[in-house]
Amino acid sequence: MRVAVSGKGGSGKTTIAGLLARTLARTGRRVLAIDADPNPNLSIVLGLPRDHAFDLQPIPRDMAGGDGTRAAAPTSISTSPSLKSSAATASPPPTTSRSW
Amino acid sequence: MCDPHAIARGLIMRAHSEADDVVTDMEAGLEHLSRGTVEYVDVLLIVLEPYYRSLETGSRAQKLAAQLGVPRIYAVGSKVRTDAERQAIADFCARHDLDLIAHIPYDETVPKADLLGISPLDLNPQSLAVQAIQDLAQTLDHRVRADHDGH
Repeated sequence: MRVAVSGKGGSGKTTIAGLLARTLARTGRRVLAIDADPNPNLSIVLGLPRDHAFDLQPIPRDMAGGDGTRAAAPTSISTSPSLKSSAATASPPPTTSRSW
Repeated sequence: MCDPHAIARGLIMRAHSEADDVVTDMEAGLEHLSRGTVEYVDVLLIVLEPYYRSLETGSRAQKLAAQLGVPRIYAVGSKVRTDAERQAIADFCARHDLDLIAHIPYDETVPKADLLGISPLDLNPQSLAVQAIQDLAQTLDHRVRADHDGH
């Protein structure tokens, strides 16, 4: 299932999104967690080591673009065991690494 | 020109073939809803804190999401401390046609974990908020599966 979590800033949405993603991943499901907040904080709730949270690769244009996307925005992918995560930001692409 | 909304929408749409589940932490506020970023999701969770500005925002989010045609829109109470707060959220949801499916209690583990820069799940997997979110995962799974089985 594809779940999006919305709410005001500070409402707990990142905590809920991150723990929901981890809970699903712990059952053995393949989970992609996306941080679509321009101020990304999801990686900490996912349990990614802080020194790796910024270690991300841009998503290839054709993967992120889909149909009708105007431009490839800088994005980042970070992963942790059983969990893949990515962040879409409007700032220049940070460098990234991907590992399961 | 950068468009994080289009990126997120594209990711949600494309990634579903590679993953069993996609969970997206949306940007704060309502702009993503007016941009149609969540068009391809199966579920939109609207997080509501027990104070009026949060509830009002949540109601607006529900209306925008319904216009987009999001198939399932659920409200989740957050940082709930007392029965009165729980009831206030429930009453608001009843009056505004919001389908309230869970309450996540206020839990010291969350700010403590944040201060340490780690996940609440790693600090205390038995904490109340963690347990409530695990229950939420089950509830969502049942609801989405029930819809699919019904077809």
